[in-house]
Amino acid sequence: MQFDPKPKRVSPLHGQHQTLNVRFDLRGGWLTPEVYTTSAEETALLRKSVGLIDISAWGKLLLKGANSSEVIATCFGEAPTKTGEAREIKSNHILVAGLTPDEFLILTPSGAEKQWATSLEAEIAMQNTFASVIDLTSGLVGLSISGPKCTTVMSKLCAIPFNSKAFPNLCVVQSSFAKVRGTIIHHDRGSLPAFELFADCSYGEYLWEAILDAGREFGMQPVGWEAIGTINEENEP
Amino acid sequence: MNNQSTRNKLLCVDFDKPLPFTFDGKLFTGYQGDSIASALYRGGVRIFSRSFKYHRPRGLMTLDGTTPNDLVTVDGISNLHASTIPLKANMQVRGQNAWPSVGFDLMGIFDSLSALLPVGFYYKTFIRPRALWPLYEKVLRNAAGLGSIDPDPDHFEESYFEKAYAHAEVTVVGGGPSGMSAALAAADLGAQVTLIEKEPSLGGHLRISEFETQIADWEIFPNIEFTNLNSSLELVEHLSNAVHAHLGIKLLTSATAFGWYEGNYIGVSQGNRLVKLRADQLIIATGQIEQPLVFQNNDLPGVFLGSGLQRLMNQYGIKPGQRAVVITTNDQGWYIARDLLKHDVEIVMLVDARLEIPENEITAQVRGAGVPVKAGMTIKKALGRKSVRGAMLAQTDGNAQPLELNCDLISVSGGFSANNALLYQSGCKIAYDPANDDFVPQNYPQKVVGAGHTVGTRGLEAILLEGCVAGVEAASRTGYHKAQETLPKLKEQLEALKSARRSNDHAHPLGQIPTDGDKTFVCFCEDVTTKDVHAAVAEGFDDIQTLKRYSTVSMGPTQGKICAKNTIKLFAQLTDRGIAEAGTTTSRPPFTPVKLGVLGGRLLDPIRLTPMHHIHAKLGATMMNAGQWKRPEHYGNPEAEVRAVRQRVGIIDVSTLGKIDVRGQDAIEFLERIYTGKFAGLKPGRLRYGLMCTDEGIILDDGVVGCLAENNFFLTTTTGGAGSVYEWLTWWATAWGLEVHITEQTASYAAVNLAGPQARDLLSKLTDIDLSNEAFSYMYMRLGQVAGIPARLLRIGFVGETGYEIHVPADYGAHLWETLMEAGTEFGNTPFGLEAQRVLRLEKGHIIIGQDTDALSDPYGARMGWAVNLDKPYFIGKPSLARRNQKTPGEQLVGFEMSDSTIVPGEGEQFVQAGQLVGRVTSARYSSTLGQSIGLGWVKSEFAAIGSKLNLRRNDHLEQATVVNLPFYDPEGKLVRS
Repeated sequence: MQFDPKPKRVSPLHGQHQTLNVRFDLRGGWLTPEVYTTSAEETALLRKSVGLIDISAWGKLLLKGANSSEVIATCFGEAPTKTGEAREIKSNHILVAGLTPDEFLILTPSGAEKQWATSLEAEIAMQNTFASVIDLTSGLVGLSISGPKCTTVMSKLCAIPFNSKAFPNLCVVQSSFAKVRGTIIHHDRGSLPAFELFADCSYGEYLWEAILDAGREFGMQPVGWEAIGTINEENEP
Repeated sequence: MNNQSTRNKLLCVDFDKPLPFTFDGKLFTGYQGDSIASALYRGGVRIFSRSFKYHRPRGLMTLDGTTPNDLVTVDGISNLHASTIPLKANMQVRGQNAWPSVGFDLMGIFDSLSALLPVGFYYKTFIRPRALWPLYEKVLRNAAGLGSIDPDPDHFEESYFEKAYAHAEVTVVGGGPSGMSAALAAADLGAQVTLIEKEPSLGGHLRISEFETQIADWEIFPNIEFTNLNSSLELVEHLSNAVHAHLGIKLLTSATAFGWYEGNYIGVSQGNRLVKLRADQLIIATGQIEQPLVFQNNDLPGVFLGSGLQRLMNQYGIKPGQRAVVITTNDQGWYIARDLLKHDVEIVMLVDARLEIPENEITAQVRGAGVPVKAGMTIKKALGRKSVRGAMLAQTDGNAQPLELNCDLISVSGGFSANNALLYQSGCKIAYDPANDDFVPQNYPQKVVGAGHTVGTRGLEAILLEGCVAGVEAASRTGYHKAQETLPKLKEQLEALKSARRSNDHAHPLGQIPTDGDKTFVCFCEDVTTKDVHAAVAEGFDDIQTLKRYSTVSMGPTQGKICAKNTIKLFAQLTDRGIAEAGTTTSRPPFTPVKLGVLGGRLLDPIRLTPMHHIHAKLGATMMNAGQWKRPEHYGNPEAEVRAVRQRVGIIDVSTLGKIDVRGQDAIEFLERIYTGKFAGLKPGRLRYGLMCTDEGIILDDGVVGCLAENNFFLTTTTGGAGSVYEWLTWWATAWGLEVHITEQTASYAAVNLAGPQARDLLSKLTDIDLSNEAFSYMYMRLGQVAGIPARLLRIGFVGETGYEIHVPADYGAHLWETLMEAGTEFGNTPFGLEAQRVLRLEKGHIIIGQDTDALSDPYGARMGWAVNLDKPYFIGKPSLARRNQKTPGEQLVGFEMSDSTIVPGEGEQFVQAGQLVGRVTSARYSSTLGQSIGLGWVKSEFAAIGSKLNLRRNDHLEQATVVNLPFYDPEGKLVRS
C-alpha cells in the first residue's frame, strides 16, 4: 500500500489551526502555523497588545541526573545553568532551563532534538555518569504568550507574580497554570515581552482556549511563526 | 421636574449625552456620568425601595452604597445599589421587595402590624397550631428575601466573570487624600505599589465638596510636588494626576477590597472580575462613613445624610429639594448648609446639638448668609407619610416644647465612624477612643497599617502626612530604605498635627440615643428599631454578639456601616456600660456583597484530548469522560463494533493508557520491588503483565511492562491510574535511593489497539516487521516502522483476539489512525469505542481495576494469585499477601451467567441468600457473541464454586444466575495467541 514515507508531524493544536485556515509551512518535519490573517497584522498585534503562538514544534529534551549541569556545560560550552534560570545558547538557538538541580529542559529548533540528544548521550557516556535524556518533543505542547499585555494575561491564569522583579527575563518556574501543571519561562524577544509555557500536550486545546479567553479583553489572537520571525530579525544584532 | 443646578467643578455629568432607561417599565432620561440613583432622583423618583420587614418607603440617603434603600434590580440582576451603578443606555431597572410597585406596595400593611412583628418574632409566633406550619412557611418564604432570580433558563444571559492574580510590594486600599499620599510616598522610593479605589475616580471625600485646604506648610510633604494648593479640588486633581502618571503605581479603580485573608491576601471585586491580591505591606486608608442620627421616622424619604446631599448636588448637579432643615452635631453640617445655599435650597433652620457652637470660618459664612441657627437642639421626629413634609425639633435637654417646621428635606450629620473593617479582619486590635468618639486601632498586625480617617485622624494636613508616613514605612519594610532618615521627623510632625486636632468637634456630644418613640431605626437593612434593641436586652441578650444575632442588627447587606456605632452606643446605654466596655461585633469578609459569579470566575475545567480526537468527532463518535480525558464511547452501534472485532478487525484509540519510562542500573530491582510478579530476567523485546499492590496487599493498578533495552523499561498503567502510579513510583524511588529515573510519558505517545482475526493481515500492509506468530508471538514487543512512523508494537490481547497495541509519537497519531483505516478498508476495519471494549474484555474475563476491584480487593480474592510471586525477597505488599495467601479469601471475584439472557444486571446490584447480602455485581453486559447475559461480581467464598446458583435481587423479585468458569470466550486463549 502507498503511504507518505515521510509523514508530517502535527502539533496538538493542529485541529484548531485547520479551523482557522492557517497557512502551514514545513519546518524540521513539522507542519507549523505560519500566518492566520496577515503577517503585518499579526506583527502589529504582537507589538501593541498580545498574541498566542503555537511553538509545540520546538524540540524538547529532558535531561535528568545528578551531574546534568556538568553535562550541559560541557556539551554547550557554557557555565552551568542554575535552578530557576534559563540560558540562551544563541549560537545553536537553544534554550536550557534549569527545572531542579537534577533536571533540565532543553529547547531546540524544530527537528534538531535527535541530534542534540545524541550529543548529550555521548557526553554522558564520556563522563560515565548516571543521566538520562528523554525526548519530550511529542509529549509537551508549547505556547508563547507575547506582547505588552502578556503579563496581564498570564496573571489571569497563574498565581505566581509575573512582574519583572519577581520573575525577570530568563527565569523559569514550574507551576499550576489554568489548573494544569506547566513549565513557564520568561523569554523576552528583545523589547517584546513574552512567556513560554510547556505542558502535557493532551491539555493543548484546553490551554489554547483558556489563554485566548483570558486575552480577549486585549483582542488576543493566534499569531503565526512568520510574525515571530519578523520580530526576531528586528532584534538580531 | 428639572432639578439641574448651575454647573460646578465637581460635576461628573455630561448633560449633552442623554441616556434613556426604564424604571418599573416607565421611561426616564439620565445623562452620561449619572448613577442610576441620581438619574431617577432627577426624574422625580423619591421612593426607591421598600424596607425589609415593614415595607416602609425608602429613599436615597447616602448615595454611596452604605444603605439598603437604593437596592434595585438592573437588567435582571437583583440587589444592586442604584447609587453606585453608572447609568448606561437602555438599562431596565426595577424596584424590589414591593408589590405591585415601590410607590404603592400592598405589603406596606406590615408597617401597621409592626406591633405583631417585634424583634425575634419568628421565634415566638408561627409555632402553633403546628399543622399550619406548611402554610406559614409558604407565606414566609414568599415574603422573605430581597430581590428575585428568574429561574427560566431561556431567559438566562451569560455574564463574563473572570479572576486575576496580583502581587504588590505595597498595597494601599483607599484612593482618598491619605491613600494617594501613601501610594505616592511608597512609589517615589521605588516600591511597586497597587492602589485600590472603589469609585471610578480617585479623591474620596475631596470629590464631593470643595473647601479651602488651609494647609500652613506644604514643605512638610516630601511626596507632594506643588505647594499652595488652596482649593481641595486643586489638591485632588494634583494628587490624582500624580498617581495616574506614576509608573510605579498600578491603579485599580471601581474596585472594592471586600475582605482581608490570611497572609495579607486581599479579595478585590472589580466589576465582574475577582482580583486575588497578595500584598507584602498593606496600608488601609478607607476613610470614614458619615453616621445618621436616631429619631422617629429617620428612614423617611427626604431624610439625607449630609454627605449624600453633597454628592447629589455637587457630583450630579441636582437641587435636592426646596426647603431644608439641617441637623448637625459637628462642623460638617455647616458645610452641608453652605452647599445647599449654593444650590438655591432655602434653609429653614440649622440645628446644632452643641450648646456652644464654635466660631470659625464656616459657621461665620453660613450665619452671614442669614440662615436661622439654633444651638442645643436636635431632631425628634421626621414628619410625613411617604416623604418628608416637616421636622419636629427639640432641645437636647428636653426642657422646651418641640418645634415643628415645614420642609421637604432633612439633612443629618451625626458624626463619623472609621471605615476600618479590613483592619478588624486583619487582626488589628481596635478600641473606642472617647476623644474621637470613634473606634481606632490600638496596635497593628505585622505588615498592616492604617492611615487617615480610617484610624480616627482628623484634618486634611494630618491625613495627608499620615498617608505619607505610612507609605515611607511600608516601602522601607519592603527594602527601600532611602527615606528612613526623614521618617522620625515626619512622625514628629504628624504627632504634632494630630495632637492639635484632638478635640471632639466631630463627635456627638451627648452620646445618648433616644429610646422612646416609634419607628426609631438603628438598622435600616433589617428594620431594627431602638425598641427592638431595648426588648432584646430585656430578654437577656446582654452581650453585643448575642444581641446582634438575636436582633439581626448590622447583619444586612450593608453590614453595619451606618448602624454599628449607634447600636453599640445604645447597647452601652441600655446595659449601663461604657462604650468601650460594650465591645464590638466581629467583622468578617466579605464586607460588601460579592456576586457568586465573581467568586466563581471562569470555568477552568481541564480537558485532555488524544491526538485522534478530531477524527473521532468527524466519525460521529459519542464521547464520554474518562477522568479528564474525552474518549469515544461508541460510533453509533456498539454491538456492531463488537461483531467487527470478533469477525474481522477493529481499531480503538488507547492513547490515554498511562505510559512511564523507567531506566537506570537499578531499574530491574525497582520493578521487582514495585510489582508482585517477577521481572528479573525480562529481556529486550519481552512483555510481562504487572500487578501492583499497596502495603496492605490491596490491588493498586495493573498494566504491562516491556523491556526496551538493558536497564530501560516502559510500563503501561490504567488510564485513571497514570498520575497516581507515577507519583507512587517516584516516591518509592526516592525512598529507596535507587539509581533509576522515572519519566511520565502518557501523552508523548498516541496508541491504538488493532484487534481481530484480520489484524495481522491489515498491519502487514504497513510494516516490514515480520508479524508471523512464530516471529512475533503473544506478549512480545517489536520496534520498527508502521506507515513510515517509528513505532512500538506490543502483542497483547485485552479483548481476546489477535491484537497489536501500536505506540507512536503523539504528533503522528492522526496519521497512524488514518493510514490504518485506509489500509483496513478491504478488511472492514471498524473503529470501536469503550462500550464495545467493555463487552469484549468482559467476554475474556479481564478485570478493570477500580471497576471490578475496590479498596478491599486483593489478588487472591480477584483470582489473580498467579500474578503474585511470594518467592521474591521483597516487594510492596509481600508480608500482607503472604498472610492473605494462608487462608481462603472471604470474598472472591467470579464470572456468572444469567438464566434469563434478557436480563442484564446493573453494576452494584446485589446477590442475596435467605434475605442476606452475599455479593454484588461489578460488571455485566449482554454478549451477542455468546448469546448470553454475563458478568463479574464479588461473592462470599461459600458461593464462589463453579455451578453455584446465585439470586440477583432486582426490585421486588429475584433472578437466577450461575457461577461459571472464566473466561467466557475462548477459554483456552487460542485466538489471542494465534
